[in-house]
Amino acid sequence: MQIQISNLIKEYATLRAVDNVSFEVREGGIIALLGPNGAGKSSLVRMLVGLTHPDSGNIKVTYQGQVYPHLPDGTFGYLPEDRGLYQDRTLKQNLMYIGQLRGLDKKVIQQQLDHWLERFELTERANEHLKQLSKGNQQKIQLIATLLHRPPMVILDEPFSGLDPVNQEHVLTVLKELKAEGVTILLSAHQMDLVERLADEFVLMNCGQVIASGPIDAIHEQLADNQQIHFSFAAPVAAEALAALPLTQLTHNDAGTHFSAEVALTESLQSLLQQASLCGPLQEFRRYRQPLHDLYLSAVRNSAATQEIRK
Amino acid sequence: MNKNYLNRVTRVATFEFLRFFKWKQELLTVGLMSAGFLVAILWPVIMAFFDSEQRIAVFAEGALPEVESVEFVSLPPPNLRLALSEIGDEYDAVLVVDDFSMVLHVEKSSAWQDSLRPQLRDWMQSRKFDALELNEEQREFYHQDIPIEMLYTSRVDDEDAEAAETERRGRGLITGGILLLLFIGVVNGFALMMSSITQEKMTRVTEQLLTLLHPQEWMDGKILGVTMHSVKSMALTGGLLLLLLNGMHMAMVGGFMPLPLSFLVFLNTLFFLIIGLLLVNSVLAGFAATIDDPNHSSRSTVMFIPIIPVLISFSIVGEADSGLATFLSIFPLTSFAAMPIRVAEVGVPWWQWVISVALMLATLYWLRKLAARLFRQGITMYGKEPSWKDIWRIIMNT
Repeated sequence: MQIQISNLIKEYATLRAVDNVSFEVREGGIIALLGPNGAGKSSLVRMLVGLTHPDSGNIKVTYQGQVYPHLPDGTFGYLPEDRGLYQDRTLKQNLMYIGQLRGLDKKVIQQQLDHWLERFELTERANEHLKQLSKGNQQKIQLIATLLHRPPMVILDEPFSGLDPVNQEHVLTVLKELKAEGVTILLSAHQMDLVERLADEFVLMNCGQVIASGPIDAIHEQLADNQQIHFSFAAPVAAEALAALPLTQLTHNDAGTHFSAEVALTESLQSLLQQASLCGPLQEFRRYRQPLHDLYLSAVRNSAATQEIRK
Repeated sequence: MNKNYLNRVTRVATFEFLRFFKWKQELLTVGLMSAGFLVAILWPVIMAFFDSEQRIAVFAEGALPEVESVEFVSLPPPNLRLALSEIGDEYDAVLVVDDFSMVLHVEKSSAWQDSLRPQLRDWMQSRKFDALELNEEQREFYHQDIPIEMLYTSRVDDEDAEAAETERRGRGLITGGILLLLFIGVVNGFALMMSSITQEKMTRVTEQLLTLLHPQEWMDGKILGVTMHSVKSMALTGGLLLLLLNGMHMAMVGGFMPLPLSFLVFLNTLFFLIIGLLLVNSVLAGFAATIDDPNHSSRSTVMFIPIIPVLISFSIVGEADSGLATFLSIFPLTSFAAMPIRVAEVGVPWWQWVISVALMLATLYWLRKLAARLFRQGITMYGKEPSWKDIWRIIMNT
């Protein structure tokens, strides 16, 4: 399944929730939608699953050779941001109901239930009412409801919220397994470290607009002002010896063996490496990548839309 | 009809029915109602058990009054002072009769005195009548019953007009009962539909399920499920009521109580009640879909509107051949309550019945469409309710 989103716009009264958004979701990949609250992620997802319609722009879903204006029924699992199930019904009753509405046979639902409840360590609690479960366990049931029919595409709005670190890792593993099975995953989350480990591609949004998109390298290219490097020598080197190099923010240890600095993105690391090796017995030369979290924060703070709002 | 549509609607309807059907609660309701009915049947026995007999000293000439649960003791006039001093002890009261007036001496006011007073008055009237010293023939003439013969020009085949009148009263009782049951069904639908839809919106079930179901399928399933519940409540109450009435009939008259309701009239009533409940529940679903939080919405009170047709229809019980009854039985928002009354009480021309059914079904079709549209609009507004202007626009578009 492939999704192509072009120039999508959605307005609510005076607010433009999604503003001319374009990106692509490739089959079998994991794409992460990132952005602060109110960035337009959920509005975008709601259009994708057909809950609302775009005011203009295009959604093109290609599945088994056919083209659709939104995800076709039964081909996706959706975990909404605002979620809940029937609190006064048991886990089993809730999941059976959702499975039956999906058109699944009772036997198939039971098989899937057995599998997923065991996978999420909830088998013993199948006959308990949902309200008896902790928030984290309810979250897992929601995820099971999304995956019950083994869809080729999964859309998860904040799948890690409400989970403790152990369960976050658990869900991360499950999502990696799904990816290995060829399931396409689109998710939005605020847990940058988890998302960075999981996703193949990213779409950073702010105030309805895409401020960067693509694989992590492309995101760095689009958002980072410069690159950070670390290098060390086998013997001490005077900082003055490095003055000819195009470095800024240069720092070093007392012994004068380990150095950190920033380099403009336009500089070639290869030529920098050669120049540094002329200054002393170079032991290590490493580019340090800024974490996604930092990139995300500075990008959101510096984005044109944020500046506009501040004005 | 689409197989998937039917399948999903059935699933939703079954889920909604079972969601509100609690075995323990049902058994408790049946138990409580049965106990209530049993107490009602046995009330005279219970009262007799707890009632104590009153003892009254009477200072009068001639025969003593005869009143159930009261013992009258005739005393000679010299004992009056002693008897008065013994009120509350030996006697509950002292009755002093002087020609055609009487005084009842009691210690304090009590409920048994209220039922005694009219009986003493009758006794005194009888004494006055005896004082006239009429002969046997005059007495008989005075006591002769004055019959009123009823001749019905529209019921020439009725040999026994009295039987026809009894049947009419019986039908009035039945139609009153039908409306009472309908009232129970509508109130039940109000409570469940309100809770069903607003609870889902508040617990955020809606968004996930809307990716599995079309709003129309969801609404139709809900309307059907809640209607099944309303019908169940009506059947349960109706069955227990019938049991009670039969129990009373057996105790007082003997045998089963005759029901002046033919099978065809019963079927017609059932049809109108079910379609009516579907119609009412569609209106309720539409209103509930526009409410975001029932605790803070002023719109909750509007949901009482569907009760009005049932209340209006009470006015035509026993007057089913009036112009108002004809109008109410054809107007689609009241026909579900009024037409069963007309059919049970008087004959209805076939064309009126057909028009009534056609209008009612068309309104039902439109209302369920409207409910689904309001629902879709309501849930996509996220956090606020559609305004009356929005609602009006949707009504016009539907």
